[in-house]
Amino acid sequence: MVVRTSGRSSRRGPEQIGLFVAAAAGSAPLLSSGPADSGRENRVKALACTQPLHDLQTNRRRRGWEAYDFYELGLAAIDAVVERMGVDAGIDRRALEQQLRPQARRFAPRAHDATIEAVVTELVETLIRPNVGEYTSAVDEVRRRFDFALLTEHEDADGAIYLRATNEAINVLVGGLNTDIESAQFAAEATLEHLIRKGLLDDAARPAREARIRSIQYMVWVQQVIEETRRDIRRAGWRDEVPGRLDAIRAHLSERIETEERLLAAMQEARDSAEKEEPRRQAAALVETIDDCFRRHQELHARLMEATRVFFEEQDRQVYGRASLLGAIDLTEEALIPLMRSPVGTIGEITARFAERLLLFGPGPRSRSLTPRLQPRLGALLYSLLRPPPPRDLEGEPVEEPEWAEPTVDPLAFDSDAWAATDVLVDALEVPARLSRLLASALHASGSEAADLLRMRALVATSPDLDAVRARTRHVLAAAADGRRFASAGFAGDDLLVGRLEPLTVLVRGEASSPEPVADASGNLRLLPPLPSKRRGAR
Amino acid sequence: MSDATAVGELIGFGLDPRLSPGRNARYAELVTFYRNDDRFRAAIEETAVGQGLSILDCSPLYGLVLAAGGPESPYAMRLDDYAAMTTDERHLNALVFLAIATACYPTAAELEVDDSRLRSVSVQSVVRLVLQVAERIAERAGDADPPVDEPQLEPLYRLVLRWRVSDTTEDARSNPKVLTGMVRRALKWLVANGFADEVATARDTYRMRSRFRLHVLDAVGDVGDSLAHIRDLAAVEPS
Repeated sequence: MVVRTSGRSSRRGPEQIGLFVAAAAGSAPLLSSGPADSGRENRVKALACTQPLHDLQTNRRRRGWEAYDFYELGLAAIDAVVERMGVDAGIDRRALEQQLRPQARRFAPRAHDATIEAVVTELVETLIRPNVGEYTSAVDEVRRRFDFALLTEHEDADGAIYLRATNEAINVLVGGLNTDIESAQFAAEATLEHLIRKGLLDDAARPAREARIRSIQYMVWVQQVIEETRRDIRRAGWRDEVPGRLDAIRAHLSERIETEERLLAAMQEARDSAEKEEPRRQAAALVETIDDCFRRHQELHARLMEATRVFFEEQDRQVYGRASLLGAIDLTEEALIPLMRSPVGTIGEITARFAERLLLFGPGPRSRSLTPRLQPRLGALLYSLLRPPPPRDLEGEPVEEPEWAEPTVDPLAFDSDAWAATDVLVDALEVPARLSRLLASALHASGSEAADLLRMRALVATSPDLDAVRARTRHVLAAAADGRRFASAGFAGDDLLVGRLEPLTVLVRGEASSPEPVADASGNLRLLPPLPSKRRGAR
Repeated sequence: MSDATAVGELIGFGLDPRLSPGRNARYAELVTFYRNDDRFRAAIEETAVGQGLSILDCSPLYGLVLAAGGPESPYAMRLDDYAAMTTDERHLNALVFLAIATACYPTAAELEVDDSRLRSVSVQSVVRLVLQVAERIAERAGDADPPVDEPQLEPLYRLVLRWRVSDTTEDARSNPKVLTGMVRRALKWLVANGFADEVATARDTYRMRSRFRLHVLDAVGDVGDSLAHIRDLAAVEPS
């Protein structure tokens, strides 16, 4: 079996790197004695789907990434995508990378951010990249190819790119086996109950998570049926397997909701009665998982109802009144589906001809195509080439002197000199000082404008911005009144105590909802929590 | 003005699919003339056929709707004029036009009847249609993987499923080599040809003009016989 990765095939063309993996397929005929074994073929292909992870793990040394376990990171990435796959969306690529960074960090706590970034990007890129697998069919000995990717990129209505896990990824890497959805769900739940009874809570988490993934797969399927019904009711399979599968989902939904209620009760009990910390923590996490499972089932139920409703609506709209048109060409049934089902070699010419009819004449004058409005005329060309150039004005247009408007000046704003002068005074505040003294020194050193600015800053500081008090940032000014008043030549009023708030001062904030700066008897500034309310005081 | 001049004039109007009689009084006048005067009508038809055009319709609503008469017509566009492509990309780009047509007129009823309802399609809805059909075929077909050394035996749906759906270029522009980019490009092309208008209020959404239906009908008619043959083959094959 050989797996090739086609690189970013869409961008650089299908460049394919040959990579030898194992001779499993080549030696298959020798090993299989009986008739063709298609089960082995499936397993060979399932094995091939894990190839991208092996590549990462094997080649990590080349980039000096020995510390990282790409098996675990890869599975974590796919888990994260599946968890977020709801009805029609996946996970945003940046969100995924953000979730993966701490996981990568676990392997290399001291690595550079840039390295972690590179590891995560490489991982996600590898999972997205399309792969080509080759094997020799056990049935007819023909060398065959199949294509797969683990994650696919999609675009939502806003143009943002999100990622979804493919069925290969879910079946091989999450589910472990390509099993029937129904039985997988049933088995998962039976095991879960059993494990909880035995107290093996950690093991119980695995089937619980798998159960949720099955629910997500169901939901994607039902959503698809709804969309197809809206577009063309005959093609959605209501005559074939859809009603049966919907019935099956419905029957099992009711059963499952019961099962999960029971599980939830059992686990809540396990959580509340657990004496040790570890089982309690596990049980609590499980309760959350089951809760989510529960929500998914309810969503699925709503979708089911919608599917049936849409069926009747669309039947009214699409089927009745069509009888007279039987025999007319139906693009979906009679063109798109048969063409897509046929080998490209047979139908390439037909699709090309169809498309060429719709290309019409080409999009206007910039096209290289033959456009009648652009017929070349040699005469006109010659004429324009032979025509003498128009006389040129060597000096060009006179340049007009632009008139600039006067910059507006805010008469009330303080200039930068005043700000600098007050900054000097504030920076010098080791201990809180009286406003009157500060004003006097500002007046003396830098004049009345600086003093006025200082007065304003002190006023603002009576209600300081406490959120701005942080380590390694500029201190914040705070001021408080203690009843003393002053009057000088230019100013009069409360003689505020003005000081600086450093991060340590505001530690009390955790206890207080909105602390206020106050001055105490010894002339110090303090932040005090507001008085407890009456309701809290009285019992 | 002589009749011949008027003939040339009307065909000239028809060659710019973005024009419509509703916005041009002279165009409207000539269309009325075409519909009422048999001699003028015959002159238009003969001239058009002679220069390799076929007339799909001539009505006050659409104006003179023209298409290239056949692959030999000097007006015929080739897919290779549309873009430089690999074989795979060529198959996909061709499919995209069929998919856009199908997204607009999924059933016979919608294609045949002119109910003057304007279809809106978005890039995403076309991409979803193609993927869903491909997935559904894959689910039901269960056919063997294609042989390595005979790429022309690969069914089209497999090509679709292995193609990258969405991606942006390094500078975050739409990448024309992925499926989403191909659809976006084709829709923009249709806009430039007067088949559609970009809807200003929704991203990547296009309102198809009703004359697009005429061209789809024409294209279906053009490939009709080969299509029937393919259908018979597909029906016979166990799938």
